[in-house]
Amino acid sequence: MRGLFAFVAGGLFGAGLLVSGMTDSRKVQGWLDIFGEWDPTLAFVMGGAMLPMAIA
Amino acid sequence: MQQEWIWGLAGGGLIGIAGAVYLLINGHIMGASGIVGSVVDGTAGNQTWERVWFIAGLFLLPTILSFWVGPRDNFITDNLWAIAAAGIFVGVGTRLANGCTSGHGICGMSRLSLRGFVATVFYIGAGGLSIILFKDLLGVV
Repeated sequence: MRGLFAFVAGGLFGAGLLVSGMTDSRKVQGWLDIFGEWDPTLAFVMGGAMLPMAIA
Repeated sequence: MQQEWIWGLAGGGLIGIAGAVYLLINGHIMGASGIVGSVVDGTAGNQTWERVWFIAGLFLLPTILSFWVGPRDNFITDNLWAIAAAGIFVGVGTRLANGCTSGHGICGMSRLSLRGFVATVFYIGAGGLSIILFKDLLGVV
């Protein structure tokens, strides 16, 4: 049972990374690249993830 | 661009729900580096199997989704030496810091953990500095 939930959690985590575009290294670099074309997507990913976590 | 942050928020929400499930059911912080590391070095003990299941889900579901949405380019360099070096840095760094983006950044900061905030500030700062070094100064990326 714990294994099943761990499997689901892992799947959700991976799906979240895919959906949010965090498998695209340009977006991660874009977040860090403050002098270039700054990409704030990662901040939204963090914010979106912290909300359910904070409730838990 | 306007849609990207919505997808970011949605994907982040999925990651957060994943972290919440893992914390509530499995009773541990969902840190990707710690989960993989403890399985490899054997410190996971009797939690080894559920962690293996976590890793399996982490690989399987996005793989299945990729068939549905089509393959996406990850824009990672095809220089294998650079990838290997980056992997070693990430591995050593996350072990030294006891966590990575998921553990410190998402789970740690959500729990208002001081260690999580400190780690997040430093790894984002270090990432920004390395972009300045490699992109703006050396011009290699």
